[in-house]
Amino acid sequence: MVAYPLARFFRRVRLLLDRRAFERDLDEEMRFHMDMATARHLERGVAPAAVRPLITKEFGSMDRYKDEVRDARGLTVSDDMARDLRFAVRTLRRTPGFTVIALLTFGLGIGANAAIFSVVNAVLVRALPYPNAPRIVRAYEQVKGQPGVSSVSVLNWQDWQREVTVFEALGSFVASGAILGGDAEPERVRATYVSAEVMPMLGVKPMLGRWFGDEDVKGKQNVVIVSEALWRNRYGADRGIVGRTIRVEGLPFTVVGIMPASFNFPLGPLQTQVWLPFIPPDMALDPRARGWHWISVIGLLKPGVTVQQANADLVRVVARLEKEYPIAIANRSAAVVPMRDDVVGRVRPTLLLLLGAVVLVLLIACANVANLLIARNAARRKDAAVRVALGASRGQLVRQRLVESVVLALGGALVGLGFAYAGLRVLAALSGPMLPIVGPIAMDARVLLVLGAAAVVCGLVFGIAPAMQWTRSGVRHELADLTVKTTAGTEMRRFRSALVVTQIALSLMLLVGAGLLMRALVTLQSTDSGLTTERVVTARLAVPNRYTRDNTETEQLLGPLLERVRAIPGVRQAGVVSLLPIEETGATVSFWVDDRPWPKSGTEPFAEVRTVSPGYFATMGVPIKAGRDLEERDDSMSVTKVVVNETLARSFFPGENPIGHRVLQGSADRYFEWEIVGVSGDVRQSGLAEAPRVEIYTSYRDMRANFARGDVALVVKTSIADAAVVPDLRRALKTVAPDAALMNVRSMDEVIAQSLASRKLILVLFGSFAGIALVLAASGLYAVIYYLVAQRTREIGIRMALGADRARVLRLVLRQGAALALGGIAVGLVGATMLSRLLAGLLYGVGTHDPLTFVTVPVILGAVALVASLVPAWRAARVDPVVALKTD
Amino acid sequence: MPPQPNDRLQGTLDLLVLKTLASGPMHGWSVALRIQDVSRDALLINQGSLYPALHRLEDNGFVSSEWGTSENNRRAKYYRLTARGRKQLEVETQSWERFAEAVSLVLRLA
Repeated sequence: MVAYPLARFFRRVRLLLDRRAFERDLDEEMRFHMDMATARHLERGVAPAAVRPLITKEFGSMDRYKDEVRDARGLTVSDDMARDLRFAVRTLRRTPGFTVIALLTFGLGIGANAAIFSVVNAVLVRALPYPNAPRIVRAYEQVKGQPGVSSVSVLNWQDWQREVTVFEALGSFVASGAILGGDAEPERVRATYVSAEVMPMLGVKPMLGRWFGDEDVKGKQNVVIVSEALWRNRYGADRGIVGRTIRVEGLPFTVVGIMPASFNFPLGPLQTQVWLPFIPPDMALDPRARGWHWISVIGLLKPGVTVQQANADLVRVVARLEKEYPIAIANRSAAVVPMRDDVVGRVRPTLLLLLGAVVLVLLIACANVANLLIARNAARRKDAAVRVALGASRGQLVRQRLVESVVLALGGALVGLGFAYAGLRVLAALSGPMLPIVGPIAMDARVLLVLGAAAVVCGLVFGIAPAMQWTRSGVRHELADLTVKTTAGTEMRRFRSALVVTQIALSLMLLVGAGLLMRALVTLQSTDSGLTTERVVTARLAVPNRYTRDNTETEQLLGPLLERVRAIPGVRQAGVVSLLPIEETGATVSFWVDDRPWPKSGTEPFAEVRTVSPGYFATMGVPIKAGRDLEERDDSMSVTKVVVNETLARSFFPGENPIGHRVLQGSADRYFEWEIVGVSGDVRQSGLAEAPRVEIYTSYRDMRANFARGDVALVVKTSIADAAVVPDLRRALKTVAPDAALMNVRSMDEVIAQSLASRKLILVLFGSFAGIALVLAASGLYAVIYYLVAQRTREIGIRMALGADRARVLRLVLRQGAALALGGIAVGLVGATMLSRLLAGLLYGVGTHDPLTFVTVPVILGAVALVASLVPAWRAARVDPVVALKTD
Repeated sequence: MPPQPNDRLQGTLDLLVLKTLASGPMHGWSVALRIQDVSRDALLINQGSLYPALHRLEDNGFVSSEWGTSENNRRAKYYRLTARGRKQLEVETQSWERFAEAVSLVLRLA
C-alpha cells in the first residue's frame, strides 16, 4: 500500500489531462440519476409539474455536488493553479517591454550559472567512469614534513603489494607514448603501460578480447590492448584485429583486446590509445633503484575500508621499510588519495570560486528582477485595488504575483538554457585540454533539475517582496484617493534602495576580483622568463624505443639530426632539451657539493635536472654567465661535465667562482661526481609564476647523466619567419630516422602563452561575470532613481516653483544616486577584501590588497553610477513646474 | 499506509456506500435507492452527496468505476469495491461499532 499515493497521483493526472471527458462523464452520471428519479416519481403518480421541485429537494444542488466531486478529485487546486498561470501569462504579455527585459536579465544570470554548473557537474560531481570508482585510490610516496607527493619506485610498489593489507589489489601504470608501425604509416600514439592488476581493478570489460593476465606481465610474449577509437580509425573497425599481430616500436605485438569507447584511463582530455603490459625493466629492480620514483600506483580498497584506514596502513608499512632500507627510504612516508581528488583536486578550488562568482551574478540578476517587478507593480496598484474591491483576498493576490514571478523565472531559465548552451560551446573552445574532464560537459538531467529548482527558488525569492506589497495597507486607499502616498511606498523605496546597494556591493566584489586577476596576468606576462623567445620554434620529437633500448639515441638520432638542422638555410641555432622549460618539469635529483659534510640522509637538497645538447642555451637565449657551454666532446669518456644555473651558484658558492667545483649527485653513501664547467642564467623552468629553482644541465653525450631517454624537445632559432623552416625540419628528420616523428610544433611564444591559458580563461570568465554584474547594477540604480524622480515630480515642481534652479534639482537627484552608490561601494569593499583572500593563490605578484585595483575599481563603479543617475536627474531638472503641479 | 478510519461525519456516509457496494457493483442511483430502502427512509441525506462520496472513495482507491449499460439500456457508471475497499470496510465497520458501543455506554451510564 506504500505505493498508493503514487497511484492516486497518476489517476489525478489522468483526469487533469482529459478534463473535458471528466466533466462530461460527471454530468452524464448525475443526469442519469435525475432521469431515473424522474421516471420513478412519474411511475408513482407524482404530477409532472411537481417532479422537478421534488427531485431538487431530494438531490440538493447539482452544482454544489459537482464542485464537491471536483474537490474530492483534487481538481480544484489545479484549477486555481491553471487560472493563476493563465493570468500570469496574460499579465506578462500585456507588458512585453518589462517581460523581455526581465527574461533577459534573469536568463543571463541563470544561464551563466547553468554553464558553470555543467562544468562543475562534469568535473566534480559525476561519478568517475569506472564501476569500482568509489573504492579506487592513488598511492604516493612523500617526503616527511614536505607538501606534495611523488611517484613511487618499483621496488617500493612491490613491497607495498606484499605488505599492505587494506587493498584488494595494488597496481601500477606509466603513461607514455609508442610508435605503431608495420601495417600502415607509422603513427605516434598515446600509450599507457599498466600492470596486470589495473584493468580488472577499474572494472571496465573489453568490448572484444581480454584484459592482460599475469603471464602477460611476465613478458612471455608481447601483447597489446587498443582503444575503440584507434581500432576504428587505424584498423577500420575490423573485429578480426584481435589475435592479429601489429608492430609497436618496431616489434611484433599481439592484439588481445579492444576497450570500449567510454573507457578512458588514465583520465584526461587526451585518451590513451594503446595499453601495454607494464614489465619493470631490470634496471628498476636493482636495489640501488629504490630511490627512483617514477611509476604511478593505483589501488582498489577492500570493501568497507576507508581512505584514512588505508593511509594509516600504508604509512605503517613505509615506516617498517624505512628500518630495512634506512638510506633509500630515509625520511619518507606515503599518502593514499581518492582517485577523484587525484584527477580534479587541482581545479576544484578554481571551479568552486567561479561557481561562487556566478552565483553572485545570479543574486544581482534576482535583485534586478525584483526591482523591475516592484516598479511594474507600482504601475498596477489601481488594478490591484479594483480586484480587492471586487472581493479578491490579499492571499489570492499574493499567490497570483508569486505564480507570475515563478513563471517569469522558469521562462528566464529557458532563455538561460540558450545562453548556457552558447556559453558552454565558447567555454569548451577556450578551455581546450585544460580541464581534467571526467566525461563530456553536457547539460544532463542533473543540470536541468538543478536549473529548474534554482529558477523556482529564485522566482519565489525575487517575487516575494514585490508580492507582499499587496498585503500592506494602502491598497484599498488607492480607490478612495488615488493621490494618497502611503507608507507602503516609503517602505518599498527603502527596500529597493537596499536592493541597489546590495547589487552595487556585489558587482564591486566581482570587479575587484577581475581587476586583481587582470593585474596578476599583466604582471606575469611582463615577467622575464630568462629566455629570449623571439623566433624560436619548438617541437616534440618522438623517439622510437629502439634508440633508447640500444643507448644510441644521441649518436644515431639527435646528433645527426642537429647537424642537418643547423645546415638548413634560415636556421641560426638548434638544440634539444629533455624537458621544455615553462611547460615541462619534474625531473629532480638529490645532490650535494664538494667535500663538505653531507646533510642528514633524506634532507639533501634537490635540483631540477635537464639534459641538453650544446647550442641549447644559445638557441633559447639563455646567457652563459661564467665558464662555458657544454660541448660535443663532453661525453662519457672523462668526468661528467655540467652547467648549473645562477640560483645554484649563488646558494652553494656564494662569493666564489663555482667553475671547477663538483656536484655530487646521489646520497652520502653512493653518488656520482659531476664537474661544473659553466653557469647559466636563471630560467623560470616550471612556469612564469614560479621563481627559478636550483637547476643542473647535463650533456646529451654523457650516457652516465643522460636524462633525455625517449622523447625530447627540439628547439630551433631562426633568422627568417619561424614557420618557414618547419617543412625542412621534417625533411631532415625523415632522412635521419624515418620512424621518428615531430609533433606539436609551436613557437616558444605560444608555449609561454599556453602556460598562461588557464589564467586567461579564469580572467575571461571572472571578467564577464563582473561585466554582467556591472551592467545589471547600473540598470538597477538607473531604475530606482528614475522611479524616484517620477514619484517626486510634484515635489520637484513645488521646489522649482519656489525658486530652486535646475542645477539645484540636478544636485538633489544626483545626491540620491551618489548615496546609494557610496553605500554599495563601502559594503562592497569589505566583501572584496574577503573575496580577494580566496583568490590569493591566483594573484601572482599582486597581493590581495593591490592599491591600484582597490582604488581604480570603486572609481570606475562610481563613474558608472553617476552616469546611471545622471539621466533621470536630467529629466528631473527639466520638469516643468506648471505641468508637474497639474498632474498628480 | 494501512487503511484508517475516516473523519466521523464524512466517514459515516462513506461507510454506508462501501457497505452497499459490498453486495456487488452498482451505479449511483441504485446505491441511493438501496440506502434509502435499507434504512427505511430513516436516513435523510441529499442524494447528491452520494456522488462526492463515490468519487472520494474512488480517488482513495476503495472503489473502481466503469461505464456499463443499465437495466433500461442507458449508459451508466458502475462502481465496484476493490480489495483495498473491502479492507477499509472492515476497518470502518469495527471503528463504527466501537463508536456506537461507546456512545450507548455513555447514554446508559450518564
